Amino acid sequence: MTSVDKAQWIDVYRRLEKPLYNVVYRVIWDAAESQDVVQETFLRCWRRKDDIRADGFKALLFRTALNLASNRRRSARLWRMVGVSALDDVADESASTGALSKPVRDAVEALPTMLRDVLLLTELAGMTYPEIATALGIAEGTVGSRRTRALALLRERLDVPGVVTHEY
Amino acid sequence: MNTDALFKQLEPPPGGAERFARRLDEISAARPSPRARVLAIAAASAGVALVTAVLLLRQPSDAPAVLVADTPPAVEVYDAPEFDRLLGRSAPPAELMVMVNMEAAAVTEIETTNQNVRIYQIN
Repeated sequence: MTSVDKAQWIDVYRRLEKPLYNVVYRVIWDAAESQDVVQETFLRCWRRKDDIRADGFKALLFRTALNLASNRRRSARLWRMVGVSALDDVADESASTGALSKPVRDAVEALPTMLRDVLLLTELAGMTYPEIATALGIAEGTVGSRRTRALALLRERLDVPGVVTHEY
Repeated sequence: MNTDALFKQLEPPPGGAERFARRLDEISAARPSPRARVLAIAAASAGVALVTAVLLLRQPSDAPAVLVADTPPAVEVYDAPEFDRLLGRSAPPAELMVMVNMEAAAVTEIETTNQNVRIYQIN
């Protein structure tokens, strides 16, 4: 790896760390674990850098992050079942400045995974519908319908008249 | 409830980029260069090819070695007329039969000075 390659990867990391972290955090609810998943995501993509197309990079990055986060979440649940708490029920809110309140977390947790993933990518990753469709392997129209359903469920769960989101 | 909190952008723990740079360095150091990988693969392939060739060409060690000289041919082989000249034997005289227009014709042997040549005249 040349120093130019390394500098470029670190630059991309700086630009995408925050949206990736926010998406991953809302899956596993642990700041340190989330940052670790973000790093692991970048390292995995870096190992496959020769096979990655530039136009599909962002989709691959978020797809990988969601997969890794889901694996960690599943692993944490298994540990909890056997009595060892890897990710505590109460997230380490002290590690992340301005972490989310429990009602918000519960509302996101209550969403089905396929709706949650779409919502996280549309609202937090700043991705376009085509990018999300590529990342999740679904049609662009499905992205829109799932987002609408996810917002409706959240609205119902949080008991608010409307949820303000970005317009596309 | 304030819905802004739902999609609030949280700040990741500090030092992420620096840690990522360190991990990149560690992996790069542990990872062999492409040239080294190609050489290793080539060496391994050559080794496998050599072992395969040796196994294919080597005689099975548990099978008894069979030499051609140890197995004499059957006796009747030596009696075949094809071996007469090879073994220095004179061919036994054979009766000559000539057919002309689907009928047997009489022949007369003419003398020659070469004992290996026989000449016949069809009557």
